[in-house]
Amino acid sequence: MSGAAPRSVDARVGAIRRVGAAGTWIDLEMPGRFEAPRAGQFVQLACQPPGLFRLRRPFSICAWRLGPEGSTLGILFSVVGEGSRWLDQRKPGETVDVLGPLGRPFRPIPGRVPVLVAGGRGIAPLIFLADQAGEALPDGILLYGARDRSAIFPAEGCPYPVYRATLDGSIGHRGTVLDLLRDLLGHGAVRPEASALYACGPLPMLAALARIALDHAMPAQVSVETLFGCGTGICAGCAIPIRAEPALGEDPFGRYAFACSDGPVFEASRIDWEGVRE
Amino acid sequence: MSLPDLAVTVGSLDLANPVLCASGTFGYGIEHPEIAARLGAVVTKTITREPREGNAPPRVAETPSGMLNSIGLQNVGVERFVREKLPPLLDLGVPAVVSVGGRSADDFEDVIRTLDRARGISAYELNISCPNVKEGGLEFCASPAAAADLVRRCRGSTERPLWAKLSPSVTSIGALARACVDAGADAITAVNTFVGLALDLEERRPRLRNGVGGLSGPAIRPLALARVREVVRAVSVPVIGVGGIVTGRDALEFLLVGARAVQVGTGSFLRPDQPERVIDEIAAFLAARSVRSIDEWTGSLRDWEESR
Repeated sequence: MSGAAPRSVDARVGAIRRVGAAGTWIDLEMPGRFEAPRAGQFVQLACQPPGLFRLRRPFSICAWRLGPEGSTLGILFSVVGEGSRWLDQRKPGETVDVLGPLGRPFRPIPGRVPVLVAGGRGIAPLIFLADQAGEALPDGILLYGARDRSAIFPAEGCPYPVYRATLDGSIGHRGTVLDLLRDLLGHGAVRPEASALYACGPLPMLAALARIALDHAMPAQVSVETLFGCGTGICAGCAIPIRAEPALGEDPFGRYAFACSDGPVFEASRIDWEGVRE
Repeated sequence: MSLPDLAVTVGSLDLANPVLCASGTFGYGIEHPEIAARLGAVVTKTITREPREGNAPPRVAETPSGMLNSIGLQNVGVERFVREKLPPLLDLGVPAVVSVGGRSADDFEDVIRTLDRARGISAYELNISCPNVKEGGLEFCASPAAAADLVRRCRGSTERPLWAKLSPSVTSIGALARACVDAGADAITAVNTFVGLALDLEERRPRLRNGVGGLSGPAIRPLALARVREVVRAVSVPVIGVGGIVTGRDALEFLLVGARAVQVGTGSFLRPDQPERVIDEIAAFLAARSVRSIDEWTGSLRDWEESR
């Protein structure tokens, strides 16, 4: 990442459309100075009418294309509260104030097959990761779990084969995405010694995934979501508990890291999952 | 249209402009160096004698036009601060104000003595008003005598300027400010956050893990402004106004009642360069009204009779 200060820019809403039963895709046309993002990074959007005060809302970046005069940023989201509802109601040509790209991205490990594991809305950064890592690491797979058919977004254009799981079996494997992962590990379809996990989803899912990674001695990177105040590492609001690692000496994080600026992508082994559960 | 002179003095300190960041809302001042370098001065998050891990999450909750926080003074402790954070902070080339906290007067003195051995710090802001710690928070503001005792102890430990940052959740902030000045404070920062509570009705519990938190943002601006005016009337030392300032116009209100400088806090969470925008908006506002310097504006509040 560059050391330049993050400055917000006005983006123009391009296309906005429904995706599946519960999703919205919005294309934001970015001015030329918007820095090229990497998968796992996010943007903070000012989801408010001008003049009103509302904290920005973080959105994972799902796609990015460079054009002749600027670039287009793709965001895939569901309406979960007032901020995302405001974004969902935008019309093409309107303006959205964007801060970013922010945070530390996924760091694909050369020579290891990427196994992407998405839970629910956690699909967004992993589609972008598949897009960015696909050329250098063409043999990856994407495991994608959600509650039921209505909560599954189509993973359009993903260069990796997509294996789906739903709790009710309405699409794909019946069970959780981690049941699916265990299955593939059991059949030898995923070889722990040759693979790496990249995951995004609810914290309990990521905690269970961290356990699987540990049991199989697989490297795992997870993107966590917490409540953010600022998104740029200055408010200390988005604390995520970190496991003490005496071997490191003086831990740069201490007990809590900041999900926005130290993350949102962490090595799964660094997070204190017991602490998260509490 | 020439740009107005924005330089101000706060006691013995010369500041290029009256816009500072508020403690705890701009990290150690080194996270966004390009922006920090444009401020009148940088105020760090509160530094304590020992490292503090801070409170368990959730630490923030959004409320109408504001936010509640309960961070719990997470910081690396004074020794690591001096070693790792202070050198790049001083490299910014703007005055560095270190916010100091502690559980007791002894803690405050220890932190100040350690900081005093380092060169280049311009002032200390005594955080005697944090609502989110079990000890060493609001009790220092519980009475003018308690605040005065603490300020006096700190005064005895350093020659550097001391600013006392006061809580608005008190009976008479004017009396509190006077007691701090009588005990040796060189300036008063007013105000810290208001104690607030927000609940999750589904879970029937507070939205913050710690229960109550500190309320900030535009929601508190009129409350803060009234208290800043009260402090300005109560003391003769410089007052630094803070509370819900997001725009240049907001800052101009605090300056108009007589604050010598202002701090932008929660506003920086909208965008880290919000304090820069406040500086530019102040300059544009004054220039458009042919006000040549910030000194012409500061404290020039008129009452209804004068202005008719």
